[in-house]
Amino acid sequence: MSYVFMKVLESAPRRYDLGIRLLSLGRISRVHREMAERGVSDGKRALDIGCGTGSLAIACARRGAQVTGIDISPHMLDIARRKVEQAELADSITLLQMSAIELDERFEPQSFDTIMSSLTFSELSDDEQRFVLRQCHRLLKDGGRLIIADETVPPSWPRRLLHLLVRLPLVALTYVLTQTTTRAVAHLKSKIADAGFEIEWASASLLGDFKIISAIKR
Amino acid sequence: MKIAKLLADFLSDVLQTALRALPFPVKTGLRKIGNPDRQSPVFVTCNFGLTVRRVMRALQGIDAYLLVANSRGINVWCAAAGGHFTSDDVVSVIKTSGINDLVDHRRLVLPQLSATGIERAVVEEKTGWRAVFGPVYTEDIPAYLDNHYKKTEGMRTVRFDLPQRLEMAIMWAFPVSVIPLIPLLIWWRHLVLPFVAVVWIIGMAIFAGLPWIPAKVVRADSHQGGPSWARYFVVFDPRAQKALLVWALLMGVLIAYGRLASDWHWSTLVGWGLASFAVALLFSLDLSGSTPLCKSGLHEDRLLRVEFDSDRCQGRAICREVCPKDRFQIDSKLHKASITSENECVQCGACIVQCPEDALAFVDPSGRRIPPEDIRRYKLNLLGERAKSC
Repeated sequence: MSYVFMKVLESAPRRYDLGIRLLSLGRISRVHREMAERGVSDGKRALDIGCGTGSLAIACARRGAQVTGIDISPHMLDIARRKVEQAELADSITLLQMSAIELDERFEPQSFDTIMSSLTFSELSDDEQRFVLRQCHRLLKDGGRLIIADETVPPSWPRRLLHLLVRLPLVALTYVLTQTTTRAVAHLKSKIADAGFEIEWASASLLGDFKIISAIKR
Repeated sequence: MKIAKLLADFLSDVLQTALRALPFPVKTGLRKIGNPDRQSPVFVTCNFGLTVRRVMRALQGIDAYLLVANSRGINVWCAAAGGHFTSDDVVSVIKTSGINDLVDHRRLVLPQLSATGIERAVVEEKTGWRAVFGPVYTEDIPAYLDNHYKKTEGMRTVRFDLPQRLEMAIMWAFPVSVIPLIPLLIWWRHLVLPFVAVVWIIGMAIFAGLPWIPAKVVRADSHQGGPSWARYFVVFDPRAQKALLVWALLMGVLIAYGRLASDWHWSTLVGWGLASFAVALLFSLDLSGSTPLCKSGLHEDRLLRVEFDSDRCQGRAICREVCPKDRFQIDSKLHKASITSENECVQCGACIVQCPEDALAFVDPSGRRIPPEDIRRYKLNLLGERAKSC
């Protein structure tokens, strides 16, 4: 499944949640649950970079974590705020409208036990990805955990070709509707390692076009 | 190696000109031009491949740094107006490119047409750099530098000269001729060449001939009051006499060729007549929106007017710096701007977004005022349904 449709959904935030659930065939809720289970437990401080409509932040707060969710889009945050209130988790979730590029100014070093990010790195340029990863390293406590889930470039040529064939019609359609597209992240694992993390585990989809990577700050 | 690169660049240019409505993202970040030193100027551009290559070519011969910001592979003006090229993208490229360590000054030259989406005040506050809006066209940058970062009137006005008009014709003619190729190749292979020829000739003729179509016919807001379909028929508007004359001439040639040179049946003639009419109509539908000179006329409820509050104005002239139609005049004694109405507004909103005193705003046809903060937040493509619901 391709995530280029995210753009369609983002342009109409009210339909984002339903759409992303349908498009990922229910996978995204599972991914968020898995991330929350692996990443947080009672009383942990967590940061969600690119929290969108807040699904992952809510999943983490349900497990007892204190979550700070940041997103660049005020529209997405409007929805997130509503969902957080409905879930009665307003006390454990703080939502901030800011760019990931401002992480260096807005938080003190070692502020978080866990940092998570779902479907956000594919929105960032190469330089931005490296910058944000360096910031994650700064913001995490020693031994803290970074968990990233995103669309990734498949590791081998045949799979890349297959991925392209599946993705191309979706890209075209998305473009017609929204004039934008997303780019899968290349070399995510080595970028994370370059920022000073030790890869703990990783799981990839069949085509290798979607990955969850967990890493520890050393 | 160098020849391979030139060839690759050329092929990319051709492809991206033909498909320029699609995004072609290239790597963002720092590019060096010539041998820049610690005093060299710093320019910003989008990451649409064609634009980046053109900027690099135009800047050849000067030593400078170019920051390619993430505009999602879309050109400067469209991306800025559509909310894809924002203040945050500029802040990001400054922070992540390492430019802070490379130069001693803090002066950033932004493309003028980005002013509709990039807030100069936000960039300055978040980075400590002083941002100025440079010329519309990169070709003017050497003269702009010689002129000590001062723009002349010509540097801040958009043009639609013949090469640009032909590029726009290609942007339409390519997909319009390629998409029907699939059924044509399957069922009516003999019609492929004539059909492609008809599309390209009509497209090129309409855009090449644009200056001879009266401005009042092309202008979107000139059709208010008339029947609502009239604005889709620009080329066939009775007031566009020269266009109609050319059209009659083309039809004459078609009939003469069909009846005299080859033995066409009348139904074939009528078929080609209708086909060319349909193609011309397609180009005509949003002709005003296909120019950088006029606003699009497709949505009547989005024909906005700029409202100016003279009491708030302090005459800082930023509106004049960013208006691509040179509509503003500044009275330097009174410290007040005024709008000269001869040039039609393209409705880009740059003046509203940049005005430090919030002295400007859009007003829609129903009289509703759209304040500057809404335009800064939602950008232009969000002024419709979504802005109201959010």
